[in-house]
Amino acid sequence: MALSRSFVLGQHYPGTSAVHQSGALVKLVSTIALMIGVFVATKTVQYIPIVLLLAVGIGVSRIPLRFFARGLKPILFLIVLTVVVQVFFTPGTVIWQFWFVRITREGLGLAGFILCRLVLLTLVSVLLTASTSPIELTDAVSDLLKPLSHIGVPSAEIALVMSIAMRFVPTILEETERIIRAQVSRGARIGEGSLVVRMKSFIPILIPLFVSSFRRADDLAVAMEARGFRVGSPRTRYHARHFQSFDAFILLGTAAALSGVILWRLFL
Amino acid sequence: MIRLDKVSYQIETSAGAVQVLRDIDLELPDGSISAIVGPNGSGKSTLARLVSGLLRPTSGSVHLLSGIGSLVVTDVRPGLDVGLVFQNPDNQLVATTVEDDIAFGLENLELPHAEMVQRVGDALHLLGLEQFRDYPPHRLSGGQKQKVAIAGVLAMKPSFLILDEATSLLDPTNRREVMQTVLRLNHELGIGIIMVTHLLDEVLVASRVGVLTNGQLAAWDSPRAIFSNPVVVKEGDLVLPLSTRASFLMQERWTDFPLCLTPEEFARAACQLI
Repeated sequence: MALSRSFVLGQHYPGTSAVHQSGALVKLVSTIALMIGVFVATKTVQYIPIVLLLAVGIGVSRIPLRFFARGLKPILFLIVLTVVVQVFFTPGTVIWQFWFVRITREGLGLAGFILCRLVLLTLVSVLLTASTSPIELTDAVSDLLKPLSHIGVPSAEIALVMSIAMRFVPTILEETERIIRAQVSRGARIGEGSLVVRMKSFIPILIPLFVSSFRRADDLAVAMEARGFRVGSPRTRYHARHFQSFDAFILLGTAAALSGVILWRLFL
Repeated sequence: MIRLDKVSYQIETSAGAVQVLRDIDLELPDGSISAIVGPNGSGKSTLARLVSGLLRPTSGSVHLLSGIGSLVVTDVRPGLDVGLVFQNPDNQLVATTVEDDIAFGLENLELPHAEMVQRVGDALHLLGLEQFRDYPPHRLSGGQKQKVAIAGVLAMKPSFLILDEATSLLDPTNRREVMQTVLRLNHELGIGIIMVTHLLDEVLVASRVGVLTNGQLAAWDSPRAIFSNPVVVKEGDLVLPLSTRASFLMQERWTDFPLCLTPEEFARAACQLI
């Protein structure tokens, strides 16, 4: 279970807040719009509308801040690497220099900008996945892709595949841990030695994992068929919900934040 | 009632056609408990899939006989009249929560929302799973997962429930719990139960046991009649319950010692002997 506990991104944090109870499709659209806003901005200061909306969202959701902090953990290395590269390798006005190492004003600015970009992208995603159950999220994806079904894109099936993938993440992680324990008990040395040796040591884990996953997929397909599932057949939805007032607030807030970023970029 | 008329099934392999089942005739009355036993590869699971409508027989037919007449089982949507629960509960739960998993089959049946809510609630109550409603499947024990699988099938209101080795991966406590639940469903709701198993202790509750050997039905009789027939026991490669084996040993010394199927029967017979 240790592996499965270490990923926060994608984990649902159950709750009864207005953010939790608002529509998954609304939250998904809002997240996508905010992500677009993050990429539209060209200066750190232009992130202010997004930061404000995100702060309201996090506050209303009543999800502990440490949950969001844990969400940043997996990308910490990427953040540090990006910041270091930007700080030390961006040409510009030198503000500090030691031998060949130098820090420029532009480097610091760019590092701060990219840091904000990565953190905002992650926090927006964590807020979406933490406040929305996987099944609601996949329903939202299905709704979002629905117009594409007119040109043959199987939107409902894509959503179902996503839902099943999420359902099986913990199961596959447990299976992986079981295989690792089995191989270690038979003398395998996992993750020791040089890079090549370490990579080779994962082969005895990956092969049984793939075999069992294919078997699982086969069994699951039969089990789904036994419960009346047919590819392409219409299905009703267990989670029916209607548009609520907080949904309107989220949409209006998102529109305001996105407009703010665009206007700031264009005119200020 | 489910009726199988001369059902045969063959599969095509690279080595040619393989006859998996041959000329199976069976009648499974409504509300009855039946069991299918036999060695590995005898065709038990294939028979379960044919009865549930997942597979179409190569020849012969499987009919559902009800008050409204006779239906070919493959014409009915799987799960609607005959529910199937498989061996590994991990590989049959589809959704990320117990509640959503039970609703999966109902969504496939295109039921209206209110009816789905009602049926999911009923299934949770019937299986004693209310407190696990929001649980993700991976946080449940093997027995609880299997109960969720049964609840998912049950919510579709089938008239028959097939358990295809459904308890074979469970520990004895979970196995007993699942079996008690299944028997309760049969007793309270009148659902016909078909157990496909190699655990002969479980088939004692069945009124009829079918022994499959090499794709053919070698016997179709009561558990007592099956266990007392040495030819069928040998052909079916059946490992009899401990009490039955012990009573055979007793018969070597005391020829009138009765055939015992359960420890209770054996204890009673031994006491009378003393």
